[in-house]
Amino acid sequence: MNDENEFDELEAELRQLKPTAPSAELEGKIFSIFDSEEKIVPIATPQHQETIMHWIRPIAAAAAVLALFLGVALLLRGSLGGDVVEKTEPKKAITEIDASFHPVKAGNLIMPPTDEGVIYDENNEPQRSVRYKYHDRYQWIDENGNRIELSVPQERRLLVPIETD
Amino acid sequence: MSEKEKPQTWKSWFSEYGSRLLLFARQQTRSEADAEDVLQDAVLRLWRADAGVTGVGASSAPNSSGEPPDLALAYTAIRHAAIDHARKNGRRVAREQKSEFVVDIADASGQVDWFGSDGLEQEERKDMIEAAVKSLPEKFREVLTLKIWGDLTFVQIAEKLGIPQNTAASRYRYAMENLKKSLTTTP
Repeated sequence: MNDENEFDELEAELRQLKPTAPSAELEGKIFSIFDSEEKIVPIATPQHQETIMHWIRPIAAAAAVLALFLGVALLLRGSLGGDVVEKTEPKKAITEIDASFHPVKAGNLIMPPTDEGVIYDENNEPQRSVRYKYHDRYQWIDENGNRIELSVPQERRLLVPIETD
Repeated sequence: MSEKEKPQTWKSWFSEYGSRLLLFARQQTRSEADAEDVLQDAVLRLWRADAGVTGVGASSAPNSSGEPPDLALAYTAIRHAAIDHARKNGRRVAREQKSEFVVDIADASGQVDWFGSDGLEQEERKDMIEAAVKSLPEKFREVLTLKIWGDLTFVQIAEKLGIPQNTAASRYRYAMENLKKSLTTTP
């Protein structure tokens, strides 16, 4: 008797078993993912100082990344010789990116919060721990349609005191 | 597919395959709560990957067309999410063990029904099979789950689990032999 025939009957019986469906609560959480829409703020018409600050931070971060590349390039120049760095011309690349790309989007996506249950703080008081995750997203584009996307994952944990009286 | 149709299409997809995906998530975790968290995280990754969002842990975009992924890709997302979840949990447990306030959460995975009772005529038989499946070692059980309730081939299973195809086949055979033995010796 070969393997297939040997297990045919048991396989058929197993296939009759239907896995239990996710709870209504879980289904609701997952459906909320599909219903969530990113809130896009047009950067062309900033009206609040806060919106402007939203842009300063990622631009500063992008500048830091470029500075890091420049630092690495300088290090490579020391370890690999001058030929490699001479061809890359990092300062020119920075100027081109700054001039051609302009911001087009800023937004965030908030995911459903996770209830982590009850914990006790240092005073032995019960607190409910709730964790929120979200992503700050930014996008730049140049005249040729090239895009730079920056997605910054964020996480916040809130402790909500529980009444025990 | 239009953007308006996409949420409904994905909801229909989850309604159809959610139970199978949750079953696989249970194989990858130690509690029902963890399984639900992992499934939720995996679906979120797939949804965001489809939207073309990068850098959020999704290994690759399914098709970026608005269509939900096939089961094989969804299983991969669940496995990745479970690995990440286990890493985070490992760090959390280490922190809690250092703290004087240790919360011992019972593992309730064994108390949750993995299968509905409408599949087989006899509830008792369903319970026997479920108990036998749950008693299998994890590495055999996950192969069985992917083969029977995921409808994957051994080639796909090997790819999902990162094991050779022959290993996947031998684990399946071991699982079936054990199940058969358990079900024939159970009074």
